Amino acid sequence: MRLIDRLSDGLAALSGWALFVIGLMLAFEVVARYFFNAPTIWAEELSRLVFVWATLAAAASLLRKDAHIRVTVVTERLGPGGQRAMRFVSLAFVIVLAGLVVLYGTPIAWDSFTRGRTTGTMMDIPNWWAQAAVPLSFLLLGLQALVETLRLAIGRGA
Amino acid sequence: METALILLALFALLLAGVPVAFALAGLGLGLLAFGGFSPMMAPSGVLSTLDSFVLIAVPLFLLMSNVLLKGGVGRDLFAAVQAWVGHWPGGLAVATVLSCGIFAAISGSSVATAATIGTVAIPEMVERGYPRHFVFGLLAAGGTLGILIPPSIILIIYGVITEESVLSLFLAGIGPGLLMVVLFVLYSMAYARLSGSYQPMPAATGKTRRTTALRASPTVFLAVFVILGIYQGWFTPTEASAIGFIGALVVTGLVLRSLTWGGLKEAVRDAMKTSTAILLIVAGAKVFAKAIALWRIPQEISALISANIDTAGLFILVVAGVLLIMGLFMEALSMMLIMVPVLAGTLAALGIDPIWFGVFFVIMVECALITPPVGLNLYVIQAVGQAGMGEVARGVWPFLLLMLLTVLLVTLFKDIVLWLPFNL
Repeated sequence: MRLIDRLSDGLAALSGWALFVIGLMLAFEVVARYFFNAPTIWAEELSRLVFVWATLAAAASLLRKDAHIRVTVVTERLGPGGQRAMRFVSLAFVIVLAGLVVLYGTPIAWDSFTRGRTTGTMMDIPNWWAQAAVPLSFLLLGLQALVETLRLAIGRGA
Repeated sequence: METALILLALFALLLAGVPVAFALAGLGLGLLAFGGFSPMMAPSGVLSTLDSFVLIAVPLFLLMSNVLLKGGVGRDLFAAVQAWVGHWPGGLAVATVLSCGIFAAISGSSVATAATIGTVAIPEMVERGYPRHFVFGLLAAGGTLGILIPPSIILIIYGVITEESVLSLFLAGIGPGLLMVVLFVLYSMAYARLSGSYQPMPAATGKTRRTTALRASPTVFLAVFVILGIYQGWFTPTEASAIGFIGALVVTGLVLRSLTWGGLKEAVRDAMKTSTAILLIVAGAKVFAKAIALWRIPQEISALISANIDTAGLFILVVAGVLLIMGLFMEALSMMLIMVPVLAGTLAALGIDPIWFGVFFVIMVECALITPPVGLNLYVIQAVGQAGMGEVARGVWPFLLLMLLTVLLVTLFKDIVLWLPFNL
């Protein structure tokens, strides 16, 4: 359980700095274009790839910290028992969703990997570099949701 | 019938407290599976949404405003504006509105604007004898300028889902944003004159004016440079956000020397959190929108609308009403992401400009958000000002009316919104 927690939080911290790096890359692109008249071929594409990974990888940590946006008007009016029940329902929903996304998302990335499909863009990177982000991050999200469910069941969760 | 069931399921999930992003994605996935469509569209929809150069502007504008925030720029701005207009009737209130307006040009979110300016302005105003409920209402409403005056996170996302130009949307937000600033300023001055319960400020000395203005100037310069650069085509909105972020690092780190390493770490972490929370909802909404489009829900709704509503005015009135009700329990972005894909098809039929509709929608959503008892801005002001909901709610009504007046004005005179994007 601790391992999952650490993995989630570590990736989220990494995500933050990845966004930082995107900022540097794109600012460099503008400078390169105006001052050196030499726009890069990698800045736009690479920043999109990093952006996809950074956004998805942080999802699990946000679940752990209950930082996802959700409607609390009804649930906060329930008693402690009701709130606990709703939290179970909500986590179960996330687990099922994550499972399905892994189930349907993996073949997309795997297919691109085995066939060696590439993006056909400037950098011509393999398609699975971006496609793998969806099933992998939802796998982590699902595992984190399982951990939270266990915590809730043994009474150590929020 | 199907439409009603799907909406029912969506609201049941949302009210059960399932995170909005997952409720939308999950329901979308379920609809794809039951409708006999490939559920692989769910993961690929998530990916294709996030693989977008325009959306990268969201985390970068968040980084920019967070870095400036941690560098104490809110305080500097307020101090400078106060030195110039503080001695006017209701001067502190005027300074607060203007600071919100300027900070809005740095930040794309209304909550951040309300919180930042609120932290410095609330204690100051209360100390000077302004009634607490007036102060709270002013800040809850002033915060909404954050998403009208560019950059605006929510307008970027509206641009992405409707495939409209972000540049045009940014330009379109300026007119109504300035109109709201003027209305708020006039109301504040009138209120101060009539109630007379505050102590006027002495005029600041020329020296104070110069030093505070000097300290605020790099930030103002950066905000102007970023916005001007987008309009002049020097860089795209996304590149502008990167320039703004690096500029924010330079301003707070090198020029003002007010950014600490710890502050930077917090800024990065907060930006990551907000950005992921927002963008996952965008991705989930994309899956949901794809699924309901295959179920022909938007077509059904637009047929229903065109059967019963034949004028643009009535349509706008109905949308406004629905938003005010939904705003009782949902936040701005989720409302927009659920409603806009469904309504987009109807706009052309009724001859409504999608750019104008985006701005109208954003103001309406913000009205909904400061309508008691539920609203993000209200919560923020409660926390910052250590106030009860009753006090905040009482103060917010006059401003809510001013905002609805703005909506009315931009509906009657569409040029307030559309002149800039069409003539620049």
